[in-house]
Amino acid sequence: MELVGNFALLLAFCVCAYAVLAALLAARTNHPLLLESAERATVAVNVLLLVATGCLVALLFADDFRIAYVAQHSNRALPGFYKFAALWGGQEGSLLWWSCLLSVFIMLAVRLNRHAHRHLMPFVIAVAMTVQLFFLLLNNFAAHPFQLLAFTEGGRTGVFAPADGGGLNPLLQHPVMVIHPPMLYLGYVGFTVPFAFAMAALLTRSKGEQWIHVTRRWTMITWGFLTVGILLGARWAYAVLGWGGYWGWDPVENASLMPWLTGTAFLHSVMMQEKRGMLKVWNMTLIFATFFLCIFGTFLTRSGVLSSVHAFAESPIGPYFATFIVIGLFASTAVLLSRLDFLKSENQLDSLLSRESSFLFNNLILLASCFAVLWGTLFPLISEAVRGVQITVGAPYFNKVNVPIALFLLFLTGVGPLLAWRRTSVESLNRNFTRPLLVGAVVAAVSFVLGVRKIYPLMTVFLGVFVVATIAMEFYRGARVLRQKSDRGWLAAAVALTRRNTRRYGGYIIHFGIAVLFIGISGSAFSVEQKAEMQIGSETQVGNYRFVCGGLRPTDTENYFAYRAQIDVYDKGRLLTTMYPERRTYKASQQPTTLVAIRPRLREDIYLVFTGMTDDGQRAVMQIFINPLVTWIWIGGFIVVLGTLIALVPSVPPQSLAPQRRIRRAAAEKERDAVPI
Amino acid sequence: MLSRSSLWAVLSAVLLAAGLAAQTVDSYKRVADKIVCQCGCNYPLDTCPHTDCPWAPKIRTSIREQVAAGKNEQEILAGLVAQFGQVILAAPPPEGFNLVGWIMPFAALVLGIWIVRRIVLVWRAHRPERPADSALVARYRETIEKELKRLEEV
Repeated sequence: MELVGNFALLLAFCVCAYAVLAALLAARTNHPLLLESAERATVAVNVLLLVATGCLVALLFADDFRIAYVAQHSNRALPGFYKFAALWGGQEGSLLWWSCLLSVFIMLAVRLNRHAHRHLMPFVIAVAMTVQLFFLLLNNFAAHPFQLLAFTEGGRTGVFAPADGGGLNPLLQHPVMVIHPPMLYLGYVGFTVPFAFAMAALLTRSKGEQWIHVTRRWTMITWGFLTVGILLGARWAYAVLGWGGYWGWDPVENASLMPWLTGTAFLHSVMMQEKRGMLKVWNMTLIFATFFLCIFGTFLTRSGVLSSVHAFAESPIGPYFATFIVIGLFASTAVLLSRLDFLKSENQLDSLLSRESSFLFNNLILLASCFAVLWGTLFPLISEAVRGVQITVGAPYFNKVNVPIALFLLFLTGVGPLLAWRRTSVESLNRNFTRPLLVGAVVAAVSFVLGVRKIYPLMTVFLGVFVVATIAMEFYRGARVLRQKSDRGWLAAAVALTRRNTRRYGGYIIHFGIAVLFIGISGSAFSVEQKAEMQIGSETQVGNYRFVCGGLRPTDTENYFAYRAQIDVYDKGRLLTTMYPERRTYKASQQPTTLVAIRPRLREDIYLVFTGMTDDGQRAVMQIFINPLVTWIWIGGFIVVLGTLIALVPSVPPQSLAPQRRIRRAAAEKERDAVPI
Repeated sequence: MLSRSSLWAVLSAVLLAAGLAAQTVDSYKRVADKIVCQCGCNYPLDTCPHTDCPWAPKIRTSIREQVAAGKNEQEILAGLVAQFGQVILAAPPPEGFNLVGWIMPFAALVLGIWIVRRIVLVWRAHRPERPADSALVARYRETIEKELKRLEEV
């Protein structure tokens, strides 16, 4: 099986190199057969990578511990879905998975656009397959997933197969880990497609905003995947790491947030180019930055450069990534600079109070936030390079720097969409913003009276409610007009309104989700935490809740043995729920871990961590957290995803809705006529 | 039976002890929140996700002992920095070269605002000089009013 995988990987590398050459030759000679051959090569690479990935999955399921990757990241007792998740549990497998997903994206992008945008295709294929070639280079020569465990004895070399594997990292043995990495990788990988189209548009000097029309949907889908990936990562951290939080400003988390921020800026500024022919150079720069931040994030997290600043030279893939990023940045900047004349924008601004200027500020804030994250992530390296002093830049730094920037962004989220293109009058400003500002101020005042005294949570509540109110008013106004023109109810009118302009109203829903998410995050300022040593029958009080230890039972499975506590939770004397936090020790790796018990509520989560036993082994040590509003973070995330999906659906023009309306009206009239007098 | 003064004394002692205990916990928490675990997790001391962490439990005990011994927050932090280096602090202290780390994001933001302001000024200068045709504007206004009136009637 490993031979098939090896062969598939090597062949994919050769075919990919051929695709790049064929596409470049096709661009130079305009030879249609060469182009078609390059297009088919993208399918071949995809099939070969699916075969290689399938081989690794099969080896994981077959417990073939001759393969170093399988021996390091799996074991016999590992449940089936975690054996599949072991595919991305280690460096070699995750890079193969990355390559495989990239090949799927490239193949789809080429198949879907090859007729409509034929002149762009040679360069799209050449650029995208160059990225693919880089990852295949890593798969074949730097992080080989099919490496055999070899031994040398008395001059004889053989293959060694241990009786069992070391097992998957216990922290990764959680259901969310089966879905979180694929989502995040789809987000990272997907930005290759808009990058390739942008480069193709530059290289071919294509007129107009064609590359943007082609790639907008790709960018939205990719951005959606990245959003889901980041949220699932936060959910995983919350449910597994057991420290009561969901975002620790870890370099891995930062690496995913940076392209999300630039990608968000791109999705906004691209509208300026579509509507007004502005920011052409800026949009190119943003998509380049987003793509290279995806690669840079992978480099940061995969090379070991940040977990230990001395590991750079030891890491086999670090230099590969560094070279690729430097060459890629140099090439794309050179192409961009050489095409500046063709990117001349029709830049004119009629008023400071306009959608255009709000987008400029939106981009500024998103980029400033991205820079703050990047700077904080890299500052330990800079400090060591300049002063030779190792420092840590952790959550206190990122919170202090990013929270004010994020609040300003939340303000713009409410203001931006309600400003008109070109010019907004002061009357319109008053009409659109007075009521939402009042509603925000009233809710903030009520929060203050109820005891919220910290400035950032108060501002978040004020701005979050302001954003929600502006969006609600937009829906209300539009739906009211539709209701006046037809016999629809409010909900039907709002749905019809959304269908008429899915992009606009989908965007509003995304903004609504972001506001809800921010309000959820503000709850973290009021988390309560308490440690308690409990034995059967003992109880402890945290906040409004009383916790009673009902039992402590050992559990033994094939994969792990565990202590499982039964904690009854009472709210004002009434049994609310029974929770079962666990402390597991995985047999293969002998690594202990905790399984957090969470009782989500809209107001606050009850979060129990079984951190261990006391020294005398008689009492369980429980860390109890009361985390306000966390559920609203996940609800906000769902709303963002829903808004993204709506924005992806094509709009239905009013004319298409008319026949349905006529049919409904006719049916209503018929029904009315049928009523006996 | 305890006298009233004895009762007050006991009550005061209990309250004082409770206050001191609360202060001890707060002092510990204030220090622990400023320390990063050195097991490689990069998380604050009290939130290290590794249940078998070889580093965090020892340092937690050390901090608790120093708090109990009456050392203040600054003294404990200074001792830990002297022992492990600045890398132990969750955020670099804002002094010397570290100031670059703190100031740079805001400096970039200010620079960005200045650039956006320049862009806006340049773009506003590109506005067409020709004033809008007043007759055309009047006609558009009239159309809008008609449409609005029609909408109200529906």
